[in-house]
Amino acid sequence: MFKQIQYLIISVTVWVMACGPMNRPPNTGSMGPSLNSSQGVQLSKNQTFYVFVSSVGSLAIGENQYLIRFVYSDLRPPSSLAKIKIAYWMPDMPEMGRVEEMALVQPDGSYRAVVSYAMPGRWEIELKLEDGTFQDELVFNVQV
Amino acid sequence: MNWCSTFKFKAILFFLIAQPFFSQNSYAFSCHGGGGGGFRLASDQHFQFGIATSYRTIQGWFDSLGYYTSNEGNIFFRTMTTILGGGYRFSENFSFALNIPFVFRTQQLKEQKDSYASFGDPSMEVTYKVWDDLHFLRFRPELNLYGGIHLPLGISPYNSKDLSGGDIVGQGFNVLYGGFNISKLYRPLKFGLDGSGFFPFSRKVTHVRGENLSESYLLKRGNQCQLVETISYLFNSNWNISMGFKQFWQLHSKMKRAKIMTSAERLFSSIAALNYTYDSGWNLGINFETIFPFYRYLVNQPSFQTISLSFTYGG
Repeated sequence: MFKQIQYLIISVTVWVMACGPMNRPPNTGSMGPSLNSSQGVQLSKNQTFYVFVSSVGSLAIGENQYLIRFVYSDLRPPSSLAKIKIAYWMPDMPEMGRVEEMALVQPDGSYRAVVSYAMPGRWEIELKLEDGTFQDELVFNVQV
Repeated sequence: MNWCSTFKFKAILFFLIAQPFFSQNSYAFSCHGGGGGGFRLASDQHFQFGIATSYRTIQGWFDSLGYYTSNEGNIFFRTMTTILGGGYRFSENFSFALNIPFVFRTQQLKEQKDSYASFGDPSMEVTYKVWDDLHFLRFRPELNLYGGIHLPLGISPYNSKDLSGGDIVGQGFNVLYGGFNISKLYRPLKFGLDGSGFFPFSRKVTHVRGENLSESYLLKRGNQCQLVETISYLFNSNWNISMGFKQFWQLHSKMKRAKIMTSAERLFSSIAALNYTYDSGWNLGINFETIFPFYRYLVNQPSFQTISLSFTYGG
């Protein structure tokens, strides 16, 4: 009886305390580049556009603004009908859903998007750039 | 035999108690918290009505690798949930219970302070009593099997109107669950073990925050399981205290049928409760849950404390 109790305690202890990663560290290579709070120019997925993305202020929980500009890879500016759709979600919490917003064009030709980070952690941002028949996207991660 | 005196058993006992404090990177195969909750009929009751109010504060978040980020000074999340519940025994072995939560949330994100109130996801449950705790049978416990469903009637991330998600009170999924409850009374101690599994249905997400998505996707939240172990001490026929541990695991979720490798969740928590029973029908209970001392085991979880007050009447 004593041996059975010992084995039971050991089994429960090992089962509760057993090691093994709960989650694999994210493969940043397949998840796209990261974006620091400082600005950077990146090439879109199919190399159609150069995209400049900058956050207004440092990233924090709550509303954050992004300033976005893009030009064609041959440095032609986009037309006045160009649009940017921004989608963001938290890969660690997929049940929170993917939020989509349209970036608002500013008088100077830039685009401003408001992103609301509900909690700290890793967020994936997807920009869908469209200018007439030309479409491309840029995906990057941020750590809030 | 005085089994506590053996060195081997002392070492095991030390390991069991000390491990939460000294582990560095150990991860238990554990899941996300939040399952269950609600009223369930006792074996000697024919009916029960009750109201329970819980108050939860969140101080920070543990990410997918268990690293902790504390909320800044101007950020807080508080949730008060009131559950109205009732149960009825319609045969010697079968009983039915219904729980309806009402959630009140307040949050502050920097300068923006919001509060929301709404009904959450109700649950319906059927319990089957397999065994009674017959005191003259020393090792036969009370055993109940139960099963039920959570209905996604509360505001979820998919129909929320608030970009920060402050008005979210429901999961947005139909969740089927089943489990067992074992308890045994060795007066003045009572031991309890509750185990349950939760199986969320897949959902085709076409709207998020009430907005139509340009591309819908199929989302399957990971299956969940939960264990709760309790020990109660019965001072007399009126007062008793309980202490216990809860472990909750959620497996990886899937989006478009592809596993999301950072989405598994785990929660270990400690529970303490004090109950007062008056006239064998009225019961008042206070319950406290905290993640102490299991900080190193939390994955994709908030750092929280929850205090609950419940009031039931049964007969």
